[in-house]
Amino acid sequence: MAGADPALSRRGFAALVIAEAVVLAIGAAAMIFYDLGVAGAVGMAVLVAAFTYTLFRAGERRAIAAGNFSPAMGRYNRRMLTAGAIYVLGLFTAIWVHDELQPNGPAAFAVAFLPSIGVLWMVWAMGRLLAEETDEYLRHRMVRASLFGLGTLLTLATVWGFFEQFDLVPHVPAWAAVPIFALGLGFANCTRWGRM
Amino acid sequence: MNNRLKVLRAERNWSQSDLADRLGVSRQSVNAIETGKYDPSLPLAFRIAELFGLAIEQVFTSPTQHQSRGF
Repeated sequence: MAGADPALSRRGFAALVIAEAVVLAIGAAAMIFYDLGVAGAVGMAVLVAAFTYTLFRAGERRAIAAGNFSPAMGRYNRRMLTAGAIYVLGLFTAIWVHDELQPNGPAAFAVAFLPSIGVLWMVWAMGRLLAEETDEYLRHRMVRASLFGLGTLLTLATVWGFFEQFDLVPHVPAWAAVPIFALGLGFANCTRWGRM
Repeated sequence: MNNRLKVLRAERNWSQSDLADRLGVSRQSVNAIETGKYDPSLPLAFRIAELFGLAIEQVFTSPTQHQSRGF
């Protein structure tokens, strides 16, 4: 039951978000700089799934305790958890097929597309939340937080892109866009930029 | 935008949650409107006024009007 456990304080929730982001960043860096193979991919997938679940549970409890939980938010949480599971499954499948079967041509594109399905599902869920939320104040906060997330993404992508262009920093894959946007969105929700 | 939401709510002995339930919005919304952090849309402002049986200008006053009257 969503309200069975006590809700984290704002600082506690922010600490959870930051702690999980740091662990994921370390994991992602380890995957980029070291060849961790299937074990590394499995570990990261499990971490992402576990962190997603704990974040949504903590977020839901906080929203209920703060009186800003809505039916649309409940549907969003369920969709995001589904999307997270699809992402993990897609990523596993794609890595396994890529390593074991080494597909070529259109099949390679299809396999490489598999991890995107879960992420695109998340993007769709975010859009549906804005469309389905009937509480105008909560929607207003979501739009502000989304704009902050977008600003974070555009800023980091631009600065990093030029640093990368001049060979100052390593390459960052384009799929990092959604996690960076989500981090910006989460940061805005935990600070005054998203609460107003 | 200034409003008398807190006073009107207190007169009826309603909590923020009571008012939120009657309006079909979150308690956070009521709190944000009441403290002036968020200005409601016109439809929601009308709903609030109708709930209290008042005209909209009896619940909400414009900041410029508020200043010119020297409150």
